[in-house]
Amino acid sequence: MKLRLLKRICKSKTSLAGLILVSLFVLVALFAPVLAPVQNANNPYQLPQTSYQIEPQGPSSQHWLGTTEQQYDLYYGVVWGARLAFKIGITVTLLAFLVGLLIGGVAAYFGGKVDEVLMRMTDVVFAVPSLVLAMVIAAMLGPDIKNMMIALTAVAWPSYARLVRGDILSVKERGFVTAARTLGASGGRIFWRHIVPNSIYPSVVVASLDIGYVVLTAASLSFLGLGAQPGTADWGQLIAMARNWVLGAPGHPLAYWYTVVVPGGAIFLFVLGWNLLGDAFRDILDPRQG
Amino acid sequence: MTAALQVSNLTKTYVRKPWLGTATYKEVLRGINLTLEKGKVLGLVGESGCGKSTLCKVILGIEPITSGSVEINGKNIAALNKKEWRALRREMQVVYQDPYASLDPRLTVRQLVGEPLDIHGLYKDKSAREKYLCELLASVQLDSAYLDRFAHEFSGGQRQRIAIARALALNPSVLIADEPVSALDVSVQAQILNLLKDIAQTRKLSMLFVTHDFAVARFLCDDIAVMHDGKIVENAPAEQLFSAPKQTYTKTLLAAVPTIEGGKR
Amino acid sequence: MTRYILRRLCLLPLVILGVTFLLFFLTQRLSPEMRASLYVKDPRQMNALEEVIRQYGLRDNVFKQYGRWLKNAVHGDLGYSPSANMPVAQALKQYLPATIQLAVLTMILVVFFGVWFGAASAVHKDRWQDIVARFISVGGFSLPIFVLGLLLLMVFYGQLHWFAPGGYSIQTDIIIHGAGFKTYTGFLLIDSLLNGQWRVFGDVLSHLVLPAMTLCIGSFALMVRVMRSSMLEELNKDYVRTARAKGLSKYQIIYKHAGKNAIIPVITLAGIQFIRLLGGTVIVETIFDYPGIGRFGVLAAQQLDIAGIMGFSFLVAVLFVVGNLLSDILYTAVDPRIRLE
Repeated sequence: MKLRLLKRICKSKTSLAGLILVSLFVLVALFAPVLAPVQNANNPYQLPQTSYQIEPQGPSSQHWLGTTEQQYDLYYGVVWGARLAFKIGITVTLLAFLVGLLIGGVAAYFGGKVDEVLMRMTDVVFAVPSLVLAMVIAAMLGPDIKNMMIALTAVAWPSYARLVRGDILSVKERGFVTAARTLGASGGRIFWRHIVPNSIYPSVVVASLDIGYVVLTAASLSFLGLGAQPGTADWGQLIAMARNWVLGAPGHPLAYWYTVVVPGGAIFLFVLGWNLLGDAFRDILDPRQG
Repeated sequence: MTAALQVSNLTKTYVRKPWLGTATYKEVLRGINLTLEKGKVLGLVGESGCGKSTLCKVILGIEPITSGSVEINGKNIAALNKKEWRALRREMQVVYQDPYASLDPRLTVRQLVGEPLDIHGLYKDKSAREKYLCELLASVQLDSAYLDRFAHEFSGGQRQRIAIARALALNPSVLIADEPVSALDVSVQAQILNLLKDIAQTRKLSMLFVTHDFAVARFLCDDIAVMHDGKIVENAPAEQLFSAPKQTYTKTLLAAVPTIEGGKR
Repeated sequence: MTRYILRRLCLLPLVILGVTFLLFFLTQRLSPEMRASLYVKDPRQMNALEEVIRQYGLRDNVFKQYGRWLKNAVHGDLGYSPSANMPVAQALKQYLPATIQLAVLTMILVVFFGVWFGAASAVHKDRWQDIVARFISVGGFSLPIFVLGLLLLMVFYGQLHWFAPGGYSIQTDIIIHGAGFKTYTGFLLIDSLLNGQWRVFGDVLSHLVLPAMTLCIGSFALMVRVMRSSMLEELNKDYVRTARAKGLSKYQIIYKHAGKNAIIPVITLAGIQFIRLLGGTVIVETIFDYPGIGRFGVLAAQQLDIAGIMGFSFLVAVLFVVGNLLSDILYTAVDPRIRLE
């Protein structure tokens, strides 16, 4: 089953490219301490700073990808940013999925009034664009990475709750659930042994492919100054620092191109990889589309 | 002697209350009386939509009773608590119409047929269970080598055999067969019918056999009840019903049956 | 269908109440002292915060405070926004037209170029036009708008000096705040024309180009994708082959027949995307320092300006919920196969 999936992914050039991109970022994240040795043992996500000079410096033998404002090393930022991206992406997706599973599961299992109330709760969260809601929540909680993850989880769970609810409702109607009931199985046994395995596995795949989107939204929040703080190895935050330098130096308008292109390229490739992979999976899961 | 299954004055009404507006009622079963004697096969014949599936659901406890009563081996199902219902499951089992739907596609044959044993805590000893599972498969003419295969690897007929093996695992005395062959290829229908007939005889099962097909009912059943629009319109021993149907509805239905034995009616 | 719309209409105020209450509840995480500081207009008051807290009832329970906010909001009083330095209601009224202007222009770009690229991609399937269009449709989804925005600023402002950030130039500012300029609609593009100020119109439009180009990227990618598959589907239908057999030229078929049918899903999509753009305006307006409600919201959030945040969220929720309902209805109206329940 898994091998067949891999084969199908490799058959299409674009999904293969997605797989390679994502694997590459996984490797960078895993081997971050090797690729960019930690400077501050207490907080590896703290960017090393060689001086407090404000003007960014271009790529050199000491700083392979140059430095951004205040001499934060861009190479270190990209490498550890990859690790932070996975940390944020996986944590938020996992938490949001668990909350969604719980709420969607309860809604579908009990139905009736409980279902109605929980689904209206998802309506409330859906009533505002997710970036806007996350922005406001993050601002209220105070800007740091942990609060940003809470804000992202708060806006991400309803879509999983709806997904899981729909899946469970459709499985609930299938013959083997009734069959299990007539065998005398308890509600819990039916739920965990028959309904859950048959309903949530597709949702798990869909959810895991949202990691790219979560990281993109996280970067947006950091860019707006409502996520990671200056000096953190966070892609969005590095791009936020580049804002002051887009106009270049007198006579050299594009002098500081690397401050945008380096972290921007990292996040673009990361999201691109997940999107390509996501397209491939969606085609496989639902052959009617695409 | 108590009957295996006694249905008395059973009615079932569905109420639909929309978010806005008034409730609508739909009477699906209207005063059903049925008796399934021990060791007999009772055929329940009717067109689709006549309420026979609903009747099965009520008997199985999936749908609540509106009024009237259902007794299985003398026990009134409306009066049972959860524990007693569980115990009753061991006396009454069911084979469903669609073997593609009624078997969880993620489980192996061992897990499927063993599930009732897990639920009721039977055959906990590994080797005893293994032996019992092989016996069960043999009784539905399946090779015990299939135990570790998944349900989705089998054909419709084989799946229905697995479903029958699962139903027999608890050694029930009453079997409800809800159109067990209508979803199958004509070529395998006969095999499954023969199997059910053999099993009913050797195990002395009381069986409620639901079908829309008079030819099938005639082959298998001792008595036949004809159902129409939520009511039993005629209830008689099989031969009597076929040779001298009393009700016009039965006659019309019988007239529409293509005969196998050339004009004998 | 009617019942569905009625039901949604009944739920609509509930949802908006839910959103505003949720956010109001969150603001209670800030200490009364912090919230009080927003009401301080004179430095001397800082020594008498307790009085401010008492005056505005900031220690009351959350329901009471929310009730007060709601009562005022219904009467059009959303409080005073320190971050915008004016009453919230006035700020929203002033900034909303600018955002709508931006969203409309973006949508025009999305539909026009999306249809063009998508159709070209389908007609020239697997040729270079198709490869370019498909590359855009995948890449556009993945390119964060804040990266694109900065790159565009770098090239078109830093290097080429074609466009500048902001909503308009200083000269325009002088004109529109001058005595001779009458405000009719609040939309600068329309008002400038009504006043016969062509230069103002051109200036405002030129300030819209970069934000609109940036904002359109995600929707544009989606539009190309939808138009391409919709067009491919049409081109494979029998009537197109019949038309070809009748001797109609390829372009006649594409633009007169297939194109017309293929465009239906695109138009409905445009309706939905128009609402979705609201999220993106938050970032785009910040990058380009464009004076719309998105920038207002970000500034309010950054400075913990509670009145501003509440007013902004309230407006966005109303726009979003109503817009979604309208686009759902539009969707069924255009495609009778879809049934709402």
